[in-house]
Amino acid sequence: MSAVELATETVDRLATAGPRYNSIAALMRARALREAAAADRAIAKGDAPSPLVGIPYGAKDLLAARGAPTTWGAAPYKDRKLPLDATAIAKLKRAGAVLAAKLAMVELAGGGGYRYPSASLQGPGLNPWDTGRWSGGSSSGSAAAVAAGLVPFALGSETSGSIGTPSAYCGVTGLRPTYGLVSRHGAMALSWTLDKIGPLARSATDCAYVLVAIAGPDANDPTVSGKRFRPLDAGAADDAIGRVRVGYAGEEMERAGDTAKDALLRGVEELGRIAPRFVEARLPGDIPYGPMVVTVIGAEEATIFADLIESDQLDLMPDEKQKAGLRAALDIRARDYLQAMRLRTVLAARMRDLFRECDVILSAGRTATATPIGQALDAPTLPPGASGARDTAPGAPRPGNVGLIPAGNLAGLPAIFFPCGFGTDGLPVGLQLVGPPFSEPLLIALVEAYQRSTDHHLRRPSTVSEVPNVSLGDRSRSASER
Amino acid sequence: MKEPIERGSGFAQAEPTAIEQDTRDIDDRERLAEEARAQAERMAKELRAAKVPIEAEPPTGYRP
Repeated sequence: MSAVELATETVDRLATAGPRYNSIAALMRARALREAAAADRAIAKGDAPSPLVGIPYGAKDLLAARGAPTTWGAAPYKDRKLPLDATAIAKLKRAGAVLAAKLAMVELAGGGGYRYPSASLQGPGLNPWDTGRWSGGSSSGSAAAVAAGLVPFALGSETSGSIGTPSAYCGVTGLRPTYGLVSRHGAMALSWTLDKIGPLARSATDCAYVLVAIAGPDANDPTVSGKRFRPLDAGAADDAIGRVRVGYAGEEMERAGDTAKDALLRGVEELGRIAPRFVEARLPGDIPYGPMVVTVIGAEEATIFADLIESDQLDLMPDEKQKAGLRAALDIRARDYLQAMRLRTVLAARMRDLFRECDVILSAGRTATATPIGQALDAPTLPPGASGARDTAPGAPRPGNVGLIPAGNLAGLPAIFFPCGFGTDGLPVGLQLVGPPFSEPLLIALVEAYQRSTDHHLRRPSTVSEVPNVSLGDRSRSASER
Repeated sequence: MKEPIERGSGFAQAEPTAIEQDTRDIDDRERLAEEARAQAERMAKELRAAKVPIEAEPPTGYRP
């Protein structure tokens, strides 16, 4: 099959099946065919720049791309076109990948704090496993499109939970890179100090292929570290997995919703067969993660979107709670923002201490399966951890590592989210592993080993059985061949 | 850096007061505005109650 044939088939499939999940912001047929033709020429010349050459993908509509509007999922920006490619998209183009669609997202990546899944220009993100459930936010379309087999991978973003939640709800593998590993240039800023761009894909191996392409220096983003990502080769991965100390607490699993608990615990047991050195490890219990993350995001988003918040255009957005949150964020005091930022310095030091005791931290991706589509995300009946994009309940008890999503984001740490089975309601359940800064090679190696010995990541919703079960390849085998 | 961070001390000692049930729709704009402001105040109190060593600086990306 040529790249042009693959691109044509992919765009056709996105056009037909994408709307079932409200996952498409814009189809990019003309651009996809141009990039695919270039990929075919490169392959014909024996000049393929990477394993991604000719591979179609989708990008969250928070990333600028030539050839389509960049709406940030929000009605005030629905016709806006930006004359540039975000750096992550430009790097994927250089690697030969083919941009087939912009994918739907929660408006403004959830800034302000939304109440309903319907807070999106495309409508609520519908889960391919059950369209009566939410696909998660804010990278809703990215996770749904991968889960439904419409694209082999997609780009998403996370400020606090926006790759993790949709990955867990849709049963895909998502990677949140270390802050500064991937350029944010050309991406909507919700929080300059928290935003990360990362892949959602069928497997950890596929995430690695994408991360190789998008990580690294970018003169347009001064927060980029300049480090590159290279996965471990097979021998180094085996050595690292043999030695790895997995930090685990477990109380958060005990508090998980009844539908998810058994699958989560089985997943922990399965991981323990691959990496048996478990040590007890808990996040610092005396740091106010919720107030910190809400205050940092709030102060930064209110500054970024002040013109919108103070204009009539804000009323074009449907979620009343989100709008109220954005307006209130304008009044966050400098002393509170800076206090939250100073606490991030304290947290970073405490996390360095924690990573002397363990190499990675294991916890639930989410402690519940995907929420019903019409249910308010802050409904009091939800089990712990089943709220929207943020785990932010102020003053709530945080046993074990239940605060790992805000803590990991505040500390800029990488995380990988991966499916570990299904809840009693038949919906996907997933785990997360968090490591020290720039530990992506170890995180990916661990989940690759887990996915070689399990098949949770290969399962597909019955509604999409007509889609071929294709992934980008087996990196561990090709790495050893190289 | 390793000093324990205390938070919330004293808040739990306040006299309990009767909470009136808000009968407005949960998506009522005024109600949401009041709730958002109240939440910001709660968060600010919790942040201010956290003890931070005086030498702790916020992370900064500014480099001249």
